[in-house]
Amino acid sequence: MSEDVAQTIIELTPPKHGEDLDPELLGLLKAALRPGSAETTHAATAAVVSRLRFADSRTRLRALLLCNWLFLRSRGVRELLVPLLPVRVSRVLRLALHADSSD
Amino acid sequence: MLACTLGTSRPLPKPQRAAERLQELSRSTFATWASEFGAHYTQLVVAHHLAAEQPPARSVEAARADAHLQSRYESLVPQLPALFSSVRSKLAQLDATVALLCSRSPLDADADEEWVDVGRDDVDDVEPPTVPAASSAPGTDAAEKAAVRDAVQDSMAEMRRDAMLLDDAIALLTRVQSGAARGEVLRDAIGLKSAISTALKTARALLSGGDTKGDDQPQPAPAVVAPVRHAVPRVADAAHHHIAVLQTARGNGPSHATAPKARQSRGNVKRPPSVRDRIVKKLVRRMM
Repeated sequence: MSEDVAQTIIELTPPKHGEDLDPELLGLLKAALRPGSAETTHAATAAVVSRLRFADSRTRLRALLLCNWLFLRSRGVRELLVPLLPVRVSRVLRLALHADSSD
Repeated sequence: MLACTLGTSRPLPKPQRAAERLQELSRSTFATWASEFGAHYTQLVVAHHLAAEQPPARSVEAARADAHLQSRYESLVPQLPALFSSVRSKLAQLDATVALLCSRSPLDADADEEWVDVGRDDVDDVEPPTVPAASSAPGTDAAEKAAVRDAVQDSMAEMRRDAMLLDDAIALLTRVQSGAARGEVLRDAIGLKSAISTALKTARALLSGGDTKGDDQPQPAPAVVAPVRHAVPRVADAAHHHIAVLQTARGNGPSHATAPKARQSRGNVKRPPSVRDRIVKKLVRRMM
């Protein structure tokens, strides 16, 4: 199942111009993620993040669209993606929160 | 993730258009996430602000192209003064040669007249010449003009090569973003390119006009040449000098009356030697 999800995500993000994601493949991905398996969610998140690092901006663009699609629909994906934001963001946030609490 | 979609730490990959769109979409996506889920994940709000403040990123390809342009510019700049001076020198040479070709100069006419006068005074004492005077030989004048025309064509070919080099330099200078004295150099390059175009047009008009006229009759200067000659007085002096050199080369040197004029002219004008040498060489070859 995890390999299928990863493969679907790779097929959804080819290095082509355009911002349209294949609705059929999106349906397959939605069906795969619906049971809420942590393993599948992990695989999907890892695959999307891997495509976000691909050495072509067209693939990155499609991966970001897919990432947005997943982020808005899956709490599990949100929980996995937010910690991937840069460490300094968390650090800035902690500093800001610490300053607020000290005031 | 910010680095992958915004290019915060390293440039985004090619193509440039997709990279720009990726950055734009990334900003709007972070804004959406911050507004929808900012209450639950405060990192999203900070990430949104960081994304909004991120300057437009350039793709790897664009950054590499900029670096390549800059290195080409830095290697070109030291060569430009030599190229400019070479072009200026060739322009002066071409002007001088064109001026020589466009008409028989008044000095040349004076020289022939005074030569006849001297000969008439001493006509009884002097042996009849075994070799006919070059000025009276019908083919000599044509040979002289053909030699000068060849020199003009050679100069034109060189000027075309220089024009191509200047085109490359101008293209590079207009594309490069920064550089010391770029504007001044660019202005010089464009001015020289324009001067080359004008000189080539003039020479071409002269060569095409000269082919239709007879060699025996004095050819009036074309209208396009006249302003050039009046604008550059040294060209006429250089032309007189060339004529004197040519007459010397064919064994029919200038008269005593005109020699001081030629010397005076030589003293005032800095003449390009290469064209003169070429003309003399070709003429001597034709005469032999």
